[in-house]
Amino acid sequence: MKLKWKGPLESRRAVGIVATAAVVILVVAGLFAAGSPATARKFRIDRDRTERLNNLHASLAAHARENGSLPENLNDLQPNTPGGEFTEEFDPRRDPQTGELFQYRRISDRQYRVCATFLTSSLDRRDEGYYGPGGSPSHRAGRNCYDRRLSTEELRSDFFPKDPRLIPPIPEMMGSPSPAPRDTPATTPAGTPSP
Amino acid sequence: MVFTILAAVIPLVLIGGIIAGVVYAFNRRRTDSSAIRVTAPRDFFLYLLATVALYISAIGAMTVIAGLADFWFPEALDRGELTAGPLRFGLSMLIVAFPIFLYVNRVIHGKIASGEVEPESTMRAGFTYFTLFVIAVTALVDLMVIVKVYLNGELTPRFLMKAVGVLAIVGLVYRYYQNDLKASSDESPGPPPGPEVIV
Repeated sequence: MKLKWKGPLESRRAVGIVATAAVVILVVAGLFAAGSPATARKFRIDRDRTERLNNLHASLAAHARENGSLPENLNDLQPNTPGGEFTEEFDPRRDPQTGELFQYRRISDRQYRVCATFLTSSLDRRDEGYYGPGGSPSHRAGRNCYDRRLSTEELRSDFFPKDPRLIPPIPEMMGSPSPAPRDTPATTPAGTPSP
Repeated sequence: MVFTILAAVIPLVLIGGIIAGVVYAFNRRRTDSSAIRVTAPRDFFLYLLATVALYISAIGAMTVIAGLADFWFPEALDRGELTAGPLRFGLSMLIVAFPIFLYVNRVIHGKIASGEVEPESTMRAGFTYFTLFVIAVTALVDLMVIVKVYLNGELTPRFLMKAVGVLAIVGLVYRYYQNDLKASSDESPGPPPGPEVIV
């Protein structure tokens, strides 16, 4: 089989060199785009933090349903599964990184403020997308505070939205009082377990 | 999606390799060369390994290009749905499989240079033509998808980068095997060439 080719890539060696160069460029560019393993880890920690904040919200809602109001502090909060206990691996009251209780303050019977320190900004996130119940709070790198309010639905039944993307993001507390979040429609039937 | 491609391609490679092996076994009786007979399984698995490593590298490169296209050409409504997972998986395929491909090819060409491997064997041609076939089908499907997406009016820079990336990789592999065929038909009549060829 005779094949004529005039121009670049005339030998197997030339193709090999071009392919190797292309692979090196792709790997370098890919590593830049995918971020370093250390960055990926930070995003995972923040995703876990977000998840815990959402679980904390669910636990607080359950507490408010049973007791009529939010707890004074997080030590009064009980797991929302009957007979359950917070374990070291999973305790929505605690920051996954430091193990300390989240900074929590009750504002009213159905309003609270919670603060957490994040390592990354959610705007930079390209990690596996995660949406927890209540939506992903957007966060900046550093300390973020959220004023959250239990909706009427949350006080009535288990709150587990079908499509979390429909939930508006939780407004951030930026020194001035934030507007109360809209109550969200679309709840699944009562009794859906929170993850 | 990557797994789907792998799941489709690897059996294809195996089947192609087995066909090449069977063709070779029938051919072998006629050539009646005891040296080749002894080394046939070794050669078979060398070619098979090189082929599998090449396919994984090519798919990895396509995955990385697709991931980079997502990253470089962000589109509205992407936020939160795009992940770096496929990009990392493509990177891992490239990082592992491509050096193996280079190494196995080095071994094969070293053995050709020392006369241990017959460069014009049916088995080798079988692997080469099988890969050329896969390349042709890939290019065909890629062009088809480009036309379809163009007709749909969805020809975004992101899609174009992915499609052109596939074509570029396929073209590179094609050039490689084309040169390989040419080289082996040039090499065989004369005395064995000196220690050449890295890839």
